[in-house]
Amino acid sequence: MDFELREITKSFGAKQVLKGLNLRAQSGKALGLLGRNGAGKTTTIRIAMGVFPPDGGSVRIDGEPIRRDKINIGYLPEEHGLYPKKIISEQLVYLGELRGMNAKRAKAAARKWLDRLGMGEFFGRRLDTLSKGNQQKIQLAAALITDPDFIILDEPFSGLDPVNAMVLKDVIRELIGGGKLVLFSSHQMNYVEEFCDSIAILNGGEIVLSGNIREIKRSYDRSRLVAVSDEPERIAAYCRENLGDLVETAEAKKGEALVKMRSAEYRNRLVASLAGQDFRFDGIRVWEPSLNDIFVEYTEETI
Amino acid sequence: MKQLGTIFRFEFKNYAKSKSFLILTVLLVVIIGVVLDLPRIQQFIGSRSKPAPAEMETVAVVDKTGSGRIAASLSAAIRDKKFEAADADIGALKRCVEAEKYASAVYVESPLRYTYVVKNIGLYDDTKEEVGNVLLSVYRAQALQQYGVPAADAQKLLTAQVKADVVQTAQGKDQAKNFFYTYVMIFALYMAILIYGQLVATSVATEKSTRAMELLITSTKPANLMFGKVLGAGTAGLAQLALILGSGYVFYNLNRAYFADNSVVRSIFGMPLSILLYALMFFLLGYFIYAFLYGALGSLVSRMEELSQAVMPVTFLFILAFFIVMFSMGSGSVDNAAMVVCSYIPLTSPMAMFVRIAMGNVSAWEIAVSTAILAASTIGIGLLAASVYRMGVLLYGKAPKPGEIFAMLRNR
Repeated sequence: MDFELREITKSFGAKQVLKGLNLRAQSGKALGLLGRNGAGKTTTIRIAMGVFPPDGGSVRIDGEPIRRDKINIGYLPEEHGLYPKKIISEQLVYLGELRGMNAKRAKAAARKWLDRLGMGEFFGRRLDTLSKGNQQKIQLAAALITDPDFIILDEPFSGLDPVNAMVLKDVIRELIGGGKLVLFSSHQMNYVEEFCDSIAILNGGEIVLSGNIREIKRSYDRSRLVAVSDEPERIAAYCRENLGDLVETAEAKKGEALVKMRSAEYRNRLVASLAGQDFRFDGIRVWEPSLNDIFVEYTEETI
Repeated sequence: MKQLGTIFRFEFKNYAKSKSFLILTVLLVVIIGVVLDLPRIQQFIGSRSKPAPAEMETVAVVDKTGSGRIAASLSAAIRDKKFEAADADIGALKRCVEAEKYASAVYVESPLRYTYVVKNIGLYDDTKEEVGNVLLSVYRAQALQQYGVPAADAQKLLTAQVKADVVQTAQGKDQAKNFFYTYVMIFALYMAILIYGQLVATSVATEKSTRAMELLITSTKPANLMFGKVLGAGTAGLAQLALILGSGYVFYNLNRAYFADNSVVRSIFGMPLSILLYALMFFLLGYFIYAFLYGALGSLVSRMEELSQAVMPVTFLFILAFFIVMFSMGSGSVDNAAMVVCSYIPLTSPMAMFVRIAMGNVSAWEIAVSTAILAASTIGIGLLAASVYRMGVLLYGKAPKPGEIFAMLRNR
C-alpha cells in the first residue's frame, strides 16, 4: 500500500495550519512524522484519517483518491482516548463494532490483543483501575483491534516504563514486519530512529525535511571522526601536535575524541595513523548528527 | 445505520445500567407503591387499633345564649370530637387549653357570635367552620320556630338540597377533573426532558474532556455519535417513565377500591388514552429538541466545570416555559394569550400545547400546526446541532461565543 498526502492545505479561520503538505508512506515501513507542538501534526493525522477534509490537495492510496470505507486505520492518540470509568472489554468491543466487526469477533480480538500485551487479567476491569502504562497498552489494543492495514501511533511510548516499552516495541516491530504501514509521531527521537526508515519534519505547516534517515544523516559533512576511548585527551593532543597536515581541530569530551579533518578524504590516513599508536580504542567512526540534532536544526528558528 | 445502532445500544446500556438510573427508578417505584398502598395500610393498622371514644379530642363548650342546647347540637352534628359543657370565662378557658385539659374550647356569647380557643391551629383544622355551621343551623331552626314553622318543617327546610345535573358539550373540558393528571404529566415531562437532556450534555462533555472523543471520531461520523447518544438517552428516559407510571397504574388498580372517594387519585389514573398519546408525542418531540441543543452545547466545552454555564440559557428557557404553564394551570386560564403564543413556539410548545389539549379548548388544526412547527424545528435544530457538534468536538480551549459559532458554521 502506498499512502500519500498531496499538496494538502488546511486553515482554521484566519490561521493556515497546513501549507501544501506532501507526505508519502509505504506498507512494511514506518514513517516518523516529527514536529514541534503546534506544527500541524494532529491536523495532518486527522486529515489522513478523514476526520475532516483538507481545504486543498488530496489523500491517496496507491495513487487513487482514498475511499474511507475501503481502508482500515488504527489510531493511538497522544491523549488517552477511552472511557476511564468503563469496563475495558466493553470499550474494546464497542470500538471494534463501530469499525465494522460483529460483537463476537470484536470480543475475541479484544481478548487476543490483551493477552498479547500481557493484559489478559484486566479484561473485565475498569480502565481507571490500571496504571498509566497499562492504560497506554489498552489504548494500543484499541488501535489494533480491527487488525488495521494503516496504523497511526501518536506518542505510543508516553508514560511507559522500560519493561512495558519493550513489550510495545516488540508489537510495533511485528506490525512493521507483518507488512503494515505505520505512521509514527513522537518527540522521543530514539524511538523514531529505532523504528522508522524515513522521517518527515513538519514546521509551520510545511514539510521542511523528509527522506530516509540514513541518507539524511549521510548528507551531512563527513569530515569528522569520533574516536571512542577511555583516554580521549591523549588522542586529541596527539592529533593536534603530530597530525596538523590532516587535522584542523581535535577536542576531547565524555569518553570521545572528536577530530575535524581538513578533508573527508583524509579519513583512511588518519585512521591508519591513530591505529599505529598504542591508544586504547573502543571504536572509531565517522561523526553523524543525531536525529535530535537534525530536528532542532530544522525547527528551532520558527514558531 | 449499523454504527448508529451500535452507538444507540452502547449509550442506552450506559444510562440504564448506571447506579443513578437504577436507584432513582427503584426509589420512585417504591414511593409510588407506598403512597398508593397507604389507605390499605392505614385500614389494616386501624382495624387492629380502633381509637376509643376517650381518645377523641375534647372540646369545652360554654353556652351563654341561655338555650342550653348548643353542646348537644354540636355533639350530634360533629361526630369525631367530644363536646363537653363547661362554665368558665375566656381567661379560664385559655388556661385549660394551655394546660391541655381540653384540646380546644368554644365560648358562645350569642347565637351568632362565638370565640374559638385553641393552642395550635392544625393545617386541616376545620373545627371553626364546623362549629359555625352548627350554630347557624340552631339559630335558623329557632328563628323558624319563632315564626311559627313546626320543628319538623324547619328541619326539612334547613336540610333541603338542590339536585343538579351537568351536561357537557362534546368539545368541553372539565378543568377540575383534568387538572391533576395534567399536572402529573407536565411534571413528568419537565423532569424527564430536563434530566435526560442534561445527561446528553454531560455525556458529550465527558467524552470530550476524557479525550475518548479522539478515538470515537476516527471510528464513526460525529453525527452518528450525537444522534446515537440522544436516542439512547431518550429511550432510557422513556423506559424509566414507563416503569414509574406503569407501576403507579398497577398499584392503583390493586388498591382501586380504597380510592373510590378520592377525586384527585381517580383523576390522575382516569386519564384518557388520547391524552397519554399526546403526552408521549410531546415528550418525544420536546426531548429531542432539547437533547439536540444540550448535545451541541456539551460539545463546545472542554472541561466539565464549564458545562453548567454553557447549558444555562437553554435550561433557563425551559424553566420559564414550565412556570408560564404552571401559572396558567393554577389560574384556570390555560387558553390565555401567553399560552396561545407559547403553544406555537417550538421550545415551549411541548408543555404549553399539551396543557391546552388536556385542559383547554383547542381545535384540531391548532394541534396540527403546533405539532408541525415543533417537528420541523426538531429536525432543523437536529441538523444544526449535528453541525455544531461536528465542529465542537474537535475544539479545545475556551468555549466559543455564539457569534464565533455562527462564523465557524458559515465558514465550513
